[in-house]
Amino acid sequence: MDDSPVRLGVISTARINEAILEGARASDRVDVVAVASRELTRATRYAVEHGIDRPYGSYEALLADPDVEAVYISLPNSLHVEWSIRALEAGKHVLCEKPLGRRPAEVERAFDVAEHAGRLLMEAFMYRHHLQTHALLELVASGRIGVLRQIRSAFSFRLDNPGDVRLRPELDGGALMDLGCYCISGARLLAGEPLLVFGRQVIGETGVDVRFTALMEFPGRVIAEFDCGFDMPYRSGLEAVGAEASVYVPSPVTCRDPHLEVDGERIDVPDADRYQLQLENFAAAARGETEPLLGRADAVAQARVIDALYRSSETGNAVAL
Amino acid sequence: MTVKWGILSTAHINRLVIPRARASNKIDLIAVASREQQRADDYAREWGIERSYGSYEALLDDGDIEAVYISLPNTLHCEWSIRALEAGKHVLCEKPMSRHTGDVEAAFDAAERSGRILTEAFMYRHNPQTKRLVQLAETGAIGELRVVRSCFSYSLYDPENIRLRTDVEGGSLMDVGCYCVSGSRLLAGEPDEVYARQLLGSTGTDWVFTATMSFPGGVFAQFDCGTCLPDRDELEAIGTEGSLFLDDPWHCIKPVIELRRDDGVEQIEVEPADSYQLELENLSDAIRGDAEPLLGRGDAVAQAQVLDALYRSAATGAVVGLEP
Repeated sequence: MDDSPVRLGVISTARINEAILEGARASDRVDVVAVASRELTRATRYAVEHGIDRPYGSYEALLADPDVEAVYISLPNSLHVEWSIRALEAGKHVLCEKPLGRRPAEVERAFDVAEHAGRLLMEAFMYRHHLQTHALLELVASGRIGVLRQIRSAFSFRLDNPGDVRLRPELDGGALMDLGCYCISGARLLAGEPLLVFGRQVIGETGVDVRFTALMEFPGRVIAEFDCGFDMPYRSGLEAVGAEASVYVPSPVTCRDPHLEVDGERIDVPDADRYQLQLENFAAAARGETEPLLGRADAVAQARVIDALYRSSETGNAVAL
Repeated sequence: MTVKWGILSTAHINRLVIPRARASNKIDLIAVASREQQRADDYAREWGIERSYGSYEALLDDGDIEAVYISLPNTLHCEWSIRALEAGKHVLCEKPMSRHTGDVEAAFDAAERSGRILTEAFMYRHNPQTKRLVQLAETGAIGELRVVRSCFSYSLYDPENIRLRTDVEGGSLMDVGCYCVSGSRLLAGEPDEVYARQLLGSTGTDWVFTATMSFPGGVFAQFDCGTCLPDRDELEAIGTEGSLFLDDPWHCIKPVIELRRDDGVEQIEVEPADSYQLELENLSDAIRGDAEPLLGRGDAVAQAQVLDALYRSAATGAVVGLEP
C-alpha cells in the first residue's frame, strides 16, 4: 500500500482554494506541491504566500510536471470539463469544483476520458463528505420521519460585484450553477433522480440567472422545492418532511454548528473539516484504497437536472427526465 | 348597537368562533341551525345559544338575525351564502369560499343585488401580526420582495372527515393550502402563472399539494401543504435586503415576526389578538357602516381563480397562465 501523501497541484488561484489548502494542511494524505495561474508572477506570489513549492505560469506547465499526481480544479465553471480532460489526459487524478458542468454530454465525455486514462475524476461537493450529511441521510433512511414526502431548501446571498465570474454568462455563471446545484444535490441525495422538473429564473443585468426557483418530482411523488439567488440576503437550509416528522438542517452546505433538528429536538453532529474529508476520500480513492464518494453516475445525473431546469425555465414548461 | 348573528352548521370550527362572539360587545349570537332539530337543540344548549333551528332555511327566516356565519362543507359555501344574502342577511363565509370562480362571482352578485355584505373568513388577515407583516414589507424592511415561501400541513387519516372527501371538495389545497395562496397574494399581488403537483391519497383528495407561483416583476412564491404531513406552518417573505419570517403565520397564537438581515436578526413582537373575534367585529362594524369589510369581492374572486388554476395545473401537468 502506498501511504505516501498524494502530490496535488492546484489549478487557479481562486478564493475557494483557501478552504482546500487548509484541509490539505490538516491531512497527512495530501501534499499541495504546485500551483498554476495564467501569470507566473501571480502564481509565484501565491506559492510564497501559501507555502507551495512550485509555481507555474500556465495550467499546461503544471500538467507537464510528472511529480504532480493529482489536480484540484477551481477554474470558472465553463473551464471545468476542458481542464479536467486535459489533466486526465496528462495522467493526473482530478478533483473538480462543482458544478462539473451544465451539459450532460460534456460531463460524460470527461468521465470517458477518466476511464480511458485509468484516472479518478471526482466532483467537489464538499458537503457530501461532512458527518452532518451522513447523519441526515441515516436519519431519513432509518424511518424516523416516516415516508419521505417533501424537501424544501434555499441557498442565497448578495453578490453585488458585477465583475464576479459567477455573474458572467460566458463562464457559465448563474445562481443555479453556483448555489442551486447544492439544492439539487441535496434533494437527489434523499429522493433519488427526479422524473420531472420545473424551473423559473430571473436573468440579471449581466445575463445570468440571478434568481432561480425550482420544483422537482421524484419517484413516489416526493416533491422538492428550492430557491436560490444572488439578489437576496444570506439564506441556507434544508427541510426533509416525512409523513411522521420533519428534519431541518440549518446549515446544510457550509455545515456551521453542525446539527439536525427533528420536531424541535436538536441532534448534534461532530464537527469536521469537510474539505479535509473530501481530500482524504479523493486521495484514498486515487490510491485505490476506497471508492470515491462521488463518481460518474452522480455527476452525470447532476448535470442532467441542471440542464433540464435551465431548459424548463427557457421554454416555460416542465421537463421530463 | 350589537349585531345579531346566527350560525349555519355545527362544524368543529365553531368552537373557536362562538366564544369570541360571546366575548365581543359588538356581537349577539342568538341562533344556530343544523339539518336536525335535535342536534341543533343539543348544540344550542351546550353552547348557551338562545334559538335553535332544524334547518338552515328556518334560521334564515328569523327576522331578528342580521348576519350569518357559514361553516358548512366547502361545496355548500356559495349556495348558502346566496340563500342567506337573498334572505337579507350579511354573510361571513368560511374559507375557501369556493374553488369555482363562477360560483364566487355569483355569490357576490347576490350580495350586490341584495345590498348586503359578503366576506370570506380568512381570519389570519385580521390579526395584527399579518397587518404588521404587510406594513414591514411595504415600508422597505426587506428591500424589494423577491420570494415568498410558505407551508401549512397536518396529519389526518379519517376517511369520513370532510376534509378528506372529494364529494364535498375537501383536500389539502382547499383546507390549508388556501392560506399559503392568500398569504403569497397578500405580499406579491396576483400571480400570472402557476405550476403545481399533487399527491392524491386513497380518499381521492390531494393529501399533499406543492406549487410554484410567478408574480409580476419576477417575484416567486413556493408552498407546500398536506393532510398527511406533520404539523407545519411557516411563511417567509424574502427581499433584496432581508427576510421576514413568521413561525405561526396562520393561527397567529404566538405572534412574532423575525426580521432577518445579513447584519443580524430582530424579533418584532406583536400584541396577541384573537383573529376570529376581529373578523366577526370587522363584519359587524361594516354592517353598521363603521368600517369597510377587510376582504371583499376582488380578493375572494382572485383567490378562487388561483385555486382553480392550481388544481388545473396539478391535474394536467401543464403550466397554467392567469389573466391580469
